[in-house]
Amino acid sequence: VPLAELRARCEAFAAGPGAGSACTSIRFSVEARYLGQAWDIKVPLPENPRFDAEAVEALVARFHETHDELFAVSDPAAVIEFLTWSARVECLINADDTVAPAFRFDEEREPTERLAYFSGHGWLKAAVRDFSSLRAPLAGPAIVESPFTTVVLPPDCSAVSSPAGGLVIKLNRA
Amino acid sequence: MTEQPTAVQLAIFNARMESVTRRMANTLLRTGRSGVINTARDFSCSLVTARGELLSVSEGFPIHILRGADLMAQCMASFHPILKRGDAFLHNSPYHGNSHAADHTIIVPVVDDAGVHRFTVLAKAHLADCGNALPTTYMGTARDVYAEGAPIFPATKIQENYQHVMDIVRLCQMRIRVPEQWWGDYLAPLGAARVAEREILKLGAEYGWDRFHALERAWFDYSEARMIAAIRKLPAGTAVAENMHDPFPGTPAEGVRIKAVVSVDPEAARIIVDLRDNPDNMPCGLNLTEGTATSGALCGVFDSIGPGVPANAGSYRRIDVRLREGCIVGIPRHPTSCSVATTNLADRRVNAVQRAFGTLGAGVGMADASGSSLPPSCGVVSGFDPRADGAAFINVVILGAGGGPGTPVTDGWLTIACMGNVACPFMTAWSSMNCIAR
Repeated sequence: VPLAELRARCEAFAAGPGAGSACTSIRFSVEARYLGQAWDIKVPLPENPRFDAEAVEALVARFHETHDELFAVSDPAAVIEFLTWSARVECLINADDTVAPAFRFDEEREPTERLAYFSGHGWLKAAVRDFSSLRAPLAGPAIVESPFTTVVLPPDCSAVSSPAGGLVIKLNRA
Repeated sequence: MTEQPTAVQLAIFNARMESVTRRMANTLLRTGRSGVINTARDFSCSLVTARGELLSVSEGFPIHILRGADLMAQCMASFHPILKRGDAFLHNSPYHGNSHAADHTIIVPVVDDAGVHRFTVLAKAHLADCGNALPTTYMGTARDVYAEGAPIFPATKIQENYQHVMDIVRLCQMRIRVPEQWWGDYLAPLGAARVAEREILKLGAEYGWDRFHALERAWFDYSEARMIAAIRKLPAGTAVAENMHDPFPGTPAEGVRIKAVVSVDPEAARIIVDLRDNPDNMPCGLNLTEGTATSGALCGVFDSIGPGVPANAGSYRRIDVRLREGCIVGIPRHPTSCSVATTNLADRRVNAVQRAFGTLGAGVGMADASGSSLPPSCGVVSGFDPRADGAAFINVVILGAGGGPGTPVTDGWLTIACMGNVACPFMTAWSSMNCIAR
């Protein structure tokens, strides 16, 4: 049965690259359309898909409902083609999604300052800070460094790091 | 009392209207059963105010949408003075604002909780078949609408309280080839219009209807201001350009000469396109409808003024398209046949208008688009499929063809998909062509 094979492949992924995940889920769906249509819609399947008469009837009803949700019409008398069966495995690395991602330099960098040119202001001394060590709000002119990007704060901005690992910049413009 | 919207609020309002028409177009494309809808995108979606003014359109053929949705919405409101939520109307009448009989339009009045008609949404699709005497949606040789054969629906109620009016459905099933395909292609624009109805009702509830209508007015005023600015940059004057359509059964032996007189008054910020000095209706399917005659003239104008002017009732305030009743590129008299009203003479007339602009001064207008209006790569195929027990099939095939016009700064586009007017294939290509031209 193809769905059993898909499940086995998902389980293999969860046990391989996904090993040690906080939680794992496998979801099945099918892409289907009314006979004659050229584009498919994705219809979710139950956790343990079955193909007895009752389950097929429920799937057909789910297709009509999904079509109606997306396109405001359904065609209950039409033939439905079920084309592509798929399974999606999700392995959540972190159960708590509010924890900031660990984008850190190998060694924490000391705060410093650097001369930088800002349009409309000319050469200014800009504070240079390590993103991962940013706790108090930082006023521009400043440069925030991390291993993946550099953020420049012009003189009329200030920034504060958010709990989710972002940088919230406030424009203090008139 | 509502405040005057800020520029940002207006931009957001417009983007939300455009997202509604995109959802409509997506619905049509993804649910249509025939290739002309689900692959060739021969459809259009429009939003019209309760007063019958065009507010927003989806990417689509300019000949479908620049003018016509407004006329059809006005027609619906005059034929059906009491509009209720759940109503839908089928409209394909060339004598009441539609393009041609093969374009079936579903019109849905958006009615608020208090029963007030607030808005009208329209989804139009070219059908694979419309019940003509011959299995084609282009009856070029039909001497009148009776010879065409397609049933004509001038804003006929096809849904009431969200239920199909089965009398009309059965009529279509008896008169349109491959009825099961027609049924799917009827549901596609119906779904598109119902999707838009859901969205507009949500937006009305969010904004409040007074605010919604204030935003409509402000968007029209902004669009008019953009049009004024665009016209002020054009050279002043009056220009005349002509264009020939080949002879065809029902036309004079030398063919049909189409003339456009374009006057630009930058000081008053007005454009007049006069198409009245043209031949009378002819006993063939080439006659334009009021919708396509005006749309083509507007198309020639928008091709010539540069990008950045929204096409809606606001910018149209500055354009006066003059048509004559009983004219081949004007307002047809029933029972004149308009079966081929979206292509042949429509293309010739767009060419004449934009070339007239081209003679007004350097850097304005466009050249003639060469290439045929309906090349051999476009056509209706029909028959019985021996592989499927002789099942009947019919479809409009639309493949690419060359023939885009030269602009003041570019050569003609050879690879343009020309269906729906050589000069202006799709709104997007059309805008980018303008962008290149500037």
